[in-house]
Amino acid sequence: MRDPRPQTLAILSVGLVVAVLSALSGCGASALQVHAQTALVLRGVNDATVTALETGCQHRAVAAATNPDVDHAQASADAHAVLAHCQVAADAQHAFASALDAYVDQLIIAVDEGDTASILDRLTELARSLIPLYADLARVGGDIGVDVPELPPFLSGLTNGH
Amino acid sequence: MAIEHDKQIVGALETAGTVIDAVGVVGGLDSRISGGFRGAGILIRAIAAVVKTHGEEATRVMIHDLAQRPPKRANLVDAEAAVDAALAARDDAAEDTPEDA
Repeated sequence: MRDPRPQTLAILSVGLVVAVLSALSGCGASALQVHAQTALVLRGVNDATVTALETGCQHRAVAAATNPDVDHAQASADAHAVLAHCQVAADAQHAFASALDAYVDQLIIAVDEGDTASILDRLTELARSLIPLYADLARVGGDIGVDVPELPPFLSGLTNGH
Repeated sequence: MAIEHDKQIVGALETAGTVIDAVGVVGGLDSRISGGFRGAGILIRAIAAVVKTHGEEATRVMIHDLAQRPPKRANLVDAEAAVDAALAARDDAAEDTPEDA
């Protein structure tokens, strides 16, 4: 049975994201400011997810390798199967991180060239591209018993409303 | 004034990042995972405080910080090494058993 605590913490974390950004959006923040805050929060969530993935994968792979109920060959096969699944999750995380990099690159362009309508549109497009990548990361993480924070709902609001 | 703003903003962000790193290396699996999420929460609160204090000026510095510290990538090298070590230890134990018997 999976430990429910990480999922609970994820929900609390997402709740905090929503509460803070809801408060910020009521302060008359510019679109660029909201995008910068979004990117910074997502980087924090991304980095927390990396910790969860690396630690969770190591814990589960070693548990499989040291399982006393199976012989050495089976333990080795099980441990490497865990690692293979973890690599899928890591690949999904890398895809999300790369998309986040592109988002940040566009933010830098906005600072250098001004937050024109076309640049803000591009930022919104890039923010929107993060949604399915993060959902994919959450799905493959869940497949191996590593819960990652759910997609912060504010991101959907950002891409739909700004 | 802008330089002082930058220092304060970067200082707040670095403090949040340090907390995340610290909770990530202490304790067992549960506390590391919860620590990561708790660290993200601390970061969010730090960002909110910075924006409240510095307003638009914070935006430029936040983007600069994002440019300087790209998002982390998961690396399974340590997990693979731990599995190899566990299997090697298991091998050693299996080799020792007949001699001991």
